[in-house]
Amino acid sequence: MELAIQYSLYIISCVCIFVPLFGFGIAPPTVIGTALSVFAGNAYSLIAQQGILKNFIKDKKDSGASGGLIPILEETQKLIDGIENPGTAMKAKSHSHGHDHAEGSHHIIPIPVYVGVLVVLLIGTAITVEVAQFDFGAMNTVIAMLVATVKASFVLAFFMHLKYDNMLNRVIFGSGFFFLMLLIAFSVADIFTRVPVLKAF
Amino acid sequence: MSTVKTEDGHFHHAHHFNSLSHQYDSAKQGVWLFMVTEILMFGGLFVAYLIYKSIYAPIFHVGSSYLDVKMGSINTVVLITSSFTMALGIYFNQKNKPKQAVIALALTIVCAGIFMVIKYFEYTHKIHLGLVPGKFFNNPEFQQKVVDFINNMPIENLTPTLSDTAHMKKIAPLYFGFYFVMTGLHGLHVMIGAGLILWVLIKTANGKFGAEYYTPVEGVGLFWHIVDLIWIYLFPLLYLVG
Repeated sequence: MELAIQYSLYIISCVCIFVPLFGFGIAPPTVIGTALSVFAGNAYSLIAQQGILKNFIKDKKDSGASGGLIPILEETQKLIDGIENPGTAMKAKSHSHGHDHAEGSHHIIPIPVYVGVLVVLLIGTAITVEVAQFDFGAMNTVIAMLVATVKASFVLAFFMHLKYDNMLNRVIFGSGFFFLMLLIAFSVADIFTRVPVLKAF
Repeated sequence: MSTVKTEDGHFHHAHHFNSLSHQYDSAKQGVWLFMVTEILMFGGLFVAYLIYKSIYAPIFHVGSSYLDVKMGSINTVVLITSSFTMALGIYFNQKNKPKQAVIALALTIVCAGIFMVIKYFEYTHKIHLGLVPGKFFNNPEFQQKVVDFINNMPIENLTPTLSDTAHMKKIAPLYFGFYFVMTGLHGLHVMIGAGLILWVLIKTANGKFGAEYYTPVEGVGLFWHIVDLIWIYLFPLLYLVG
């Protein structure tokens, strides 16, 4: 199931590369760039967080293989360990069964952090309501959306534990917003070039 | 659910998973994928709102003045608080404190109830005034306000669509179409979410969850936070940005 989900993400990424290239030809570099970064993020999370490369090396060594690509792969794994947890790269070996150790010990966010987030959200609400009393013209929408986005990020990072979650969930959720952006971009491009739009009162 | 608690108080994962944490991660990944579909579903409505607001801005401006900002703000605070208590519900489950977890989850359901009661008052008020979508719309005062607003605009800002008074009167209920569909769909999510929280509350009270296994609480929590997240955007868009 996990594999199917991961491949579905690849397929979606491929589709969003080819649609603008062959279909519309509008700003393909941006779309391709984002899609490729989703690609890279997913692949990296596979290797770094789920220890696929580590397991591969271990399997090969267990079955008595040596030489060839193995030393290079081992160097790559060390490099990834260095990035993932700086300072503990040397201890990487004792972590080869990381998944078994992690059982039942998820990161628990202490209550004061939750209270802090609650306070931030309430202040954000107050700011949104207060700012709306004044007329900044088009800036009203921008300010409201900026504050809403800050509030949403706090909810996502702490209440939804995304800050301490694995990379794949972040990539999955990010892809949702990416497709929303795609929808907005094409809709805006269509409406603003075709229909007379009101710019000010 | 295939996770069972044995007599010795430990949880056993389903046979097709390597470990409990493998099962937890897979389940959570599924919930996140579902959250993406939620974002895209509401995203479509937000894009429709964006398009129609850029064409018929005066209707949205007059329309938002018909909403009660005070009730909307109270609802925002209520939902944010419920998100906080939901997070506490997960926290106490992680810490093996079922009693506190039940209290936190119950508070969340109470908040959902307050939200829906306030929503009920807002809806009945709108329906009473005839501010409903489509052919049921019956409030000539609102239509006149839209037309007056357009007549007071600087002439150079007018588009051909806005100058057509008959068309603007006919399309004025548009705002309440958006209002009822967006808040209605969100309200439906609040009710479903409250039902799901009740389900995990009962299971928590029955001792089905603990630090080792609390996946359903986490999943329901994610759903509840998404409901909160959508309201965070919905509130300024409908009530404040006119």
